[in-house]
Amino acid sequence: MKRHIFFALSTLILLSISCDKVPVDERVKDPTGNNGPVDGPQQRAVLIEEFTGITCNNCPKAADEIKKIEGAFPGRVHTIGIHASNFAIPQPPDYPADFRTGVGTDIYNFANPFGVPSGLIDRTDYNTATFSKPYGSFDGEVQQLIETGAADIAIALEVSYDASAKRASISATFSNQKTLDYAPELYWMAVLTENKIIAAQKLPDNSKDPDYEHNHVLRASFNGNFGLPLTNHGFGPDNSSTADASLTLDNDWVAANCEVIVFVYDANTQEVIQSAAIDLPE
Amino acid sequence: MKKLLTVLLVFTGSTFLFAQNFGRISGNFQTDFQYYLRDTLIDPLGEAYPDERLLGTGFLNLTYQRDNFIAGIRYENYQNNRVGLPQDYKGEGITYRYARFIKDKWDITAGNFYEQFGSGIILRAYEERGLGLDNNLDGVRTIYTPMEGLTFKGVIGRQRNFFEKSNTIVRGFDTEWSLRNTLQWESTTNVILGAGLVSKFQEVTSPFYTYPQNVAAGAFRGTVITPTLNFSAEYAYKANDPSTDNEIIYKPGHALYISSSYTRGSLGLTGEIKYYDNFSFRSEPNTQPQQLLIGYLPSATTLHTYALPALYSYNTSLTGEQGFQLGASYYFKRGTPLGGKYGLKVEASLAQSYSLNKDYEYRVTAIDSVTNLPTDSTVSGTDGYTTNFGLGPIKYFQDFHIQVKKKLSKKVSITGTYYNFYFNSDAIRKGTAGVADYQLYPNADNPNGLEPNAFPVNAIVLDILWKLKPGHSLRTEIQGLWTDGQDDRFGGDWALLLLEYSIAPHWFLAVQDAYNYGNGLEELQIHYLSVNAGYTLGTTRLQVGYGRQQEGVFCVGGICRVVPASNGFTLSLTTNF
Amino acid sequence: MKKWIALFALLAVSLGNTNSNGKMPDIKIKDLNGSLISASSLTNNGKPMVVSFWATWCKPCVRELNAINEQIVDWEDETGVKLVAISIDDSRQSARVRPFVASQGWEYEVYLDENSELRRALNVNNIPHTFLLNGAGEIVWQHNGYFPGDEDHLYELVQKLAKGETIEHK
Repeated sequence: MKRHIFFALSTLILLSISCDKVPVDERVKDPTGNNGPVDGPQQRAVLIEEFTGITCNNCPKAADEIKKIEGAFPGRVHTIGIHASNFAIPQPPDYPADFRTGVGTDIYNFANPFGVPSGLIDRTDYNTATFSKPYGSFDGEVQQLIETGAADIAIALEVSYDASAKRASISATFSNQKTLDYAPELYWMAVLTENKIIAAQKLPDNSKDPDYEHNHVLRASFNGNFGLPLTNHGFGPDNSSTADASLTLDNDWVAANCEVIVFVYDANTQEVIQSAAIDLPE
Repeated sequence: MKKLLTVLLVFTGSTFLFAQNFGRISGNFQTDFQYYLRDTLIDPLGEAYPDERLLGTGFLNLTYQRDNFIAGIRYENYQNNRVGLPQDYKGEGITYRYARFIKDKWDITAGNFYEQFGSGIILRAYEERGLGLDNNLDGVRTIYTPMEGLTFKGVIGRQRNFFEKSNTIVRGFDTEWSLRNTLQWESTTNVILGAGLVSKFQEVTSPFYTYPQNVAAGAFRGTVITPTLNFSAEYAYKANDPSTDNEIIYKPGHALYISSSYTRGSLGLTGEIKYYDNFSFRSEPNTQPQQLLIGYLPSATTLHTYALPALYSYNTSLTGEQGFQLGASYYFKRGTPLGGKYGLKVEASLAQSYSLNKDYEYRVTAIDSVTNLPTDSTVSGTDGYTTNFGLGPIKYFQDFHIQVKKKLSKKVSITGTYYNFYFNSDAIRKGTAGVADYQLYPNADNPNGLEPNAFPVNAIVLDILWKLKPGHSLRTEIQGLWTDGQDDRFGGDWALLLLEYSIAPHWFLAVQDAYNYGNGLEELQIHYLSVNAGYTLGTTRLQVGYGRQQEGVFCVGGICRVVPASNGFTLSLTTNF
Repeated sequence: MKKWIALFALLAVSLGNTNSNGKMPDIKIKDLNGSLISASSLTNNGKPMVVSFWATWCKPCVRELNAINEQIVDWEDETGVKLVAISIDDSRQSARVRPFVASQGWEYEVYLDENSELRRALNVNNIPHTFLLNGAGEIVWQHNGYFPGDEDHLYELVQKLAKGETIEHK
């Protein structure tokens, strides 16, 4: 009997050692500091496709988290806010805004998440249970991708806007920064997002904020719901190609608050290789 | 698929080869299909109308047993999962396989296993198929019983995550000691003591927070059982475990669950107390709500199964709540004035759940550059809050119900139940409970806190069984539910009538109409009419249905899953062999 | 679809092959005094035994056990059969099993299978699920679900077993 109790106690003690206590002053890290601009090859930027909805009470938490991540990695995080699912259905008179789009719904169905808020981070982990991710894991996922350093493909953007015709044109140049030895099937996609839209949103306490500021709202795609193939783009280290597309803005979109996000992805793995963003000129 | 066929062939082949003395294969099989019809009344925009139209899921369990050796596999398939169930269950594969050897003092399992330590607070690997929950561990479990009444358990493994596994390693140790058996007391009283420890090893990257890599939770428990009394208590402690659930706070967790019962003759009394403080315990800190739970917190409320009261079922708030349940039951024997010719059973219960009594600790995270005022304060990255003794200011739930069961004659028996709930929809359905209730909590701006969307619910269920002639019976459920509460598309008054005619031992036919006549949205004041028929032959059961099914709410482990209303055909086949 | 045909074919093969009778496996369940006992040790001294899986929240289970309870005295006298009720209530409800049993006036032997370990080993899918064991402890019949009148059929089988006849239908 004593032997057994001794055995039990020693096992308990052994197991209890395997427990880390994080001291108070080490819990919160300072994410700024070494995340400034880097000379040399273009560094990898990370694309967050955020699934959200105006009647989803936890979605503002995810939006705050994304804002924090953007602040921690300035210029290296691009967000597309995709309003989809039951929580994006307008519920007039309280929640009248309809931010749903055909392209957004297609991406949502492609991601097939467990609900909102959730998102894709550079479309990594395709065909696994962690393809769409809960917002609590965005920060870590983004950091891991940022730490991969230089992007395989650099993106340079030029944008022009004809205010009278409300027509935006984008020209993107994709330049390899190394040999693409994994022979990707390259697609590029350009979308228009709008910031600073004021519309009612349900908050975490389930109350309504009639003047909530929605950012990164996906408005339209320049080139189809899943982009277009980047034809004739070689895999050599100095290969580069250029693609163009244009789009007419709806009358109620505020051009000055719009942004164009361009990304290039490998259709074999669905993973986004690089993304870039540029504001519409006034 | 090839892998599966090989395994199946080996299994069946082995029984051919070794005839009956060399073990036995048994198993079960279930498959469900649903064909969805477009219904613009319940789903005007087609949001819950799947592209596939026909969805089918199924599983097959095979168990091989020979003397001390048991082995089993389960094949699951989802083409695709039905609407309202987790869509990450997609495709097919073997999700569960194990070999188990039981001999003398040892019981060793390699592969997938389910396990529970004590009441499950620090470890419960289990499956709840209807909810799409399966958190079995893949690894090794050893149970050692050196003498009767003394058990040691050791487990190590990784948790199932749909068709994959979590990267986090879970290890645990548990011991249980039954004093009467080990010390050979000549007494009707038994004392059982137990202790367990579970630790996870996780690797989490974050630019903002330092996550602990090893998180341990330990529990002590004790039970006293006499012929009339049963008293059981378990206390558990969990080290710092920041997660999305608890808003990334580093406060340790506490859990206390006490359950007791007193039985004398036909009187039964029960009492339960729960106190859960920051006790969401998962393999990964940031995961989907239903996935990767290591622990299980008993809810100390009654599980209701009649359709209308079940619409407002309770669900434990993992990150903080406290409450109690008191129950009494009495059997008035036949021949007594109240008991009458056939006896009378009465049962009543009261349960309440409240928030913890907390003082939040906020931390300023930014100073506005223009006004120099704090712009953002948060509980994240701190200890979050401190607790005080006593109930918190927010009531999550109350359940009072009383049930009377009476056999009126040789042919008719009746069960009547009255329910009264207080339902805090924000806390239970929207998850604004536990740590997250600081938004509802009184503070300087809101001295009384914000008013949650909470409302009373009343319901009555009459269940009448007529035995018409031998083997033939008609069961009728008349249900009514009255509430002013409305939660998005869900709410208002309901009436339900169910007629179920059965011919033992093979057939049944049921017709049900649920009418949501008091829904706050006029377009949803509609009838949900459905017909179901079933045929049972031994252990094989085939059920087909057609009609409109109301929205259902299924809750587990702090999360409710809303299965949207649907319209269509269903087919379900289950068998055992 | 091919997969399904293959599955069914194999299923049929394994079905046709289960000509030996299973026994209760050596898996621990708890009695209402908190002692662990092995399910394989459940016996009825050479007489038939009914093992019924139930839960406090399962209405048909309670109906079935109540229906049998009304007749169990006669059953025991005539055939010596014993009924063992195994509750799969989890820790949320398991403390209420004993008072529940008392309030129903049942005198069955009741055990707890709190994490469905025995249930899984016996491939019980939904409850109620009833097993009939012969005097040698072999599972000779099982049934899923309950409708009023099922208990009469069960008793016919019990009588057959008590007379030493074999049961064809599994």
